[in-house]
Amino acid sequence: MRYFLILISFLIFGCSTQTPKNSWQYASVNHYKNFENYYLQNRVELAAMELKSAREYAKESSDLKTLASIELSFCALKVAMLEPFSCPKFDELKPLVESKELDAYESFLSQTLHKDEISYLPKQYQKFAKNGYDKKSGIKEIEPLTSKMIVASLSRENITITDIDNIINDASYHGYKNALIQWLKLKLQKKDDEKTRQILRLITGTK
Amino acid sequence: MQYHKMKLYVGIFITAFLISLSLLFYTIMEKKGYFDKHINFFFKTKEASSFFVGMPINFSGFEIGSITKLTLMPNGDVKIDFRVKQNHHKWICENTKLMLEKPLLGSPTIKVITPLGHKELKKGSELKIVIRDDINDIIKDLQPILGEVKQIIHSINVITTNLASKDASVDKILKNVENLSSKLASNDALLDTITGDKNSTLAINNSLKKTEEIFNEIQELIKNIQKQILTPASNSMVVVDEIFKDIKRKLDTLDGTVNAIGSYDKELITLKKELHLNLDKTHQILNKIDAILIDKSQDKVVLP
Repeated sequence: MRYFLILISFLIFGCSTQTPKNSWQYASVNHYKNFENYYLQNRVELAAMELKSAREYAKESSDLKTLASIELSFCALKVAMLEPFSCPKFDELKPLVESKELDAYESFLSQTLHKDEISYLPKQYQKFAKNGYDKKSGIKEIEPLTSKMIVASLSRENITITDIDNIINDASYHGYKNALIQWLKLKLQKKDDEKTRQILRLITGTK
Repeated sequence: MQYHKMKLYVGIFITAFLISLSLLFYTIMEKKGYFDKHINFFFKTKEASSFFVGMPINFSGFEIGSITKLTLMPNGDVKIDFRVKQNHHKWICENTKLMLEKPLLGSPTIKVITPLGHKELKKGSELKIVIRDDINDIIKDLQPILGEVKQIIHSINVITTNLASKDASVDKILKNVENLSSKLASNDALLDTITGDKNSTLAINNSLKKTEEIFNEIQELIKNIQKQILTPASNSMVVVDEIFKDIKRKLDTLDGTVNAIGSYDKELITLKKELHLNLDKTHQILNKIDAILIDKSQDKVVLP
């Protein structure tokens, strides 16, 4: 009986699991994905925990590209939350990581992008970048929502209430509370109305 | 050719795997007793509330069978069918009785009580059941004791009220004796007249003083008894309070000691290191679990 169990366990275990050599990389990316969700949902403690794990796994290797990607992505998320772009942790890693994609992305976020860098950007931003950060280049069509928020945030001076409402609707649909709060605040800055104020009061729990 | 060989190996592997799996299931089912033969019996009772299908039947603490069916009879009785494993048939004899025990704590159980040296009972026969209800038995036993306790409490109440009251007979007697003795003691002439002897008067006076002292002592004693009777509860509370205070004092001391030692004691530093080491090991295990559970579809961060 015991030998049977051992044999079967080995067979099943042997067939079903095969740990990749770069498991640190998979684990780091997984934790970062979790962090992104929690951060957007405003689940602060869980987000902090996941980010810490993502960084720790990324630091298990001397290939710092994953770590740099994590730091830059976090800064991009902050831009999506309408914060000004600043990324000191990525700046520290930049000399140690050679990546045209990350450099182009950083330039894009800091709005110092050169024309020859556009091709290294993620596809969803290329049209917007080519048109000189013009909101007319179709913010509505940009996917996923985080990218849409980044583009809208970068052209926030020019976006309309309709664009903001679009983002608010999408953020509501996804349950991204953190994003929702920031974009509702921006809407109030642009146009003060009681309904928005009440929604904001309700979801933040303030008086 | 090599493809055919691989197919053959895969085939052998799958066949071996399936055979092992079937054998495993068979062994498990056999161990669970799915293939055992059973013999059915039944008993009748007035109440089915303590019985359920699957309820074990125990003999000397071993499970030898279980209840299979509960049926309400037309006359209001409940017929309960049960079965025992064939190898335990010997424990169900002609004079065997079942006993339902309802313990104060835990779920009710059915016990088989079998006298030795009787014939095995035929399958499908009826057995008698005796119900032993611990809770009700305890209540029955407690009732007379409760009566006595009530009586005792009543008596204590009477005693304490009498002792505490100023009009109480004991107190009156004591006061009368005190008055008499003081009068006798203060009036030597009266005693002289009665006894006709000065020395006797002196002796009586001394005796009376002694008696007064004794009565005073008795009074003190009664007061003490009163305290003992009237304040046991509050005393217990004081004791409990003291215990809690003591525990708190000890915990405070322990906390202080740990804090004081924590900063410099080498052993504690070693202990801390060991704890860290254990934490690291736990972390490593968690990493391994993470590695098994991770989504292996992405190894690059997708820029938002």
